[in-house]
Amino acid sequence: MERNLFWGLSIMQQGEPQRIVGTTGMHPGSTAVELVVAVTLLAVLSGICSELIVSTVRLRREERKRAWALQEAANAMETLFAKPWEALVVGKKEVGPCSPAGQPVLESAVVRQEVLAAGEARRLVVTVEWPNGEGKPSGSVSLVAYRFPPVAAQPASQSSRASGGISQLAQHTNLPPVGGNRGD
Amino acid sequence: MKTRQGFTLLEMTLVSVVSIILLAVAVALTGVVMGLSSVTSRQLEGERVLGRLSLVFRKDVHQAESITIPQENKTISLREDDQIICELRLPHQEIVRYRVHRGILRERVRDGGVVGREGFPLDLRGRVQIRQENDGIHTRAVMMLELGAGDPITRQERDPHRTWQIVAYVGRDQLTSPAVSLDSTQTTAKSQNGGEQQ
Repeated sequence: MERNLFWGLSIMQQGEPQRIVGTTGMHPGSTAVELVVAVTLLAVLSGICSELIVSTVRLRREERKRAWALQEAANAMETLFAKPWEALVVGKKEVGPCSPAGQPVLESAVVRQEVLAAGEARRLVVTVEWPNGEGKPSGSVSLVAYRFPPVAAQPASQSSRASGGISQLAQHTNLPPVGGNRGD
Repeated sequence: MKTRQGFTLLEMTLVSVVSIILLAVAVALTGVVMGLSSVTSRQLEGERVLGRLSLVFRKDVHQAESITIPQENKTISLREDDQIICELRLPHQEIVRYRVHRGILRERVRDGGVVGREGFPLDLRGRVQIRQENDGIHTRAVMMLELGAGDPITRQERDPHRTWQIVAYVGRDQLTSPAVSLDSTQTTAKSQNGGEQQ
């Protein structure tokens, strides 16, 4: 008497020593081709899984770098914005390394500060660029702000436009700058 | 005709060993993927919180008339609940206080009572430090958040720690905002800084 187990195997329950036999007698084992196909499939699946994991880790790292770069740019813009009006000379460009706080994440990132003319105002541009490894384009984040010249004293009734403090701040990575005035 | 009627012990052993190896690899990969998913979502959430904290802290410092740092240059662990990080005195007798509480907690105090709270939940392995710097013209507050870096697989802390730095100039809005200018003398003094960055 035979009891079926699975995949064509059965166990002889009566008779002399029990042994595992093929039920069909036609397919006693796996051929080399079957084994190669199975191993190839497994290798392909493992490769896909590994690739997914690697790309997730890479994306995570890039997102972190972008967040840190944006913060680095915001800090640089804060410092640039606090400078006296006379120090904002049109055409002035400064390039330097990122702050020590950003270096563990951004490594050899570069911070560019640029002062451009925009009518009476100054267009302040801060760009942070960081490398993304060999063969890949470097990432960058830019902040743009407008600063208007200080005005002379005006009567209190006209003071609502006294500083001419219209400002714009745009963050553009791969997108054009976002315009428009924003209030607190 | 002689047919092969079963598998040999060697074949079964080989199949078992290969199956065990494949299962082990599958389990390890599943663990890595789940760990990565968890770490990634925590990282994204943490960065969102840090961005929000930066915006709110800058806005408060820009509005502030003065800043008080009870423990200047001292690094405070985010596990030390209720330690005050700094106090900002805003116009209209309002005080904004930052203190450690499951991350960082911002409290708005008016007439001696707390009128608003906002939490910034952060990884408790982190530390915070704040200091004032004066460049001769302005005073600026620098908040440094040292964030614990955990390995997604071993979950062990590893160096180097990442540092999130927030720089903000104290009272910048008062220097530039026309709304606080009451007379022409003050307007001259307070609008000397020109425009305004949001």
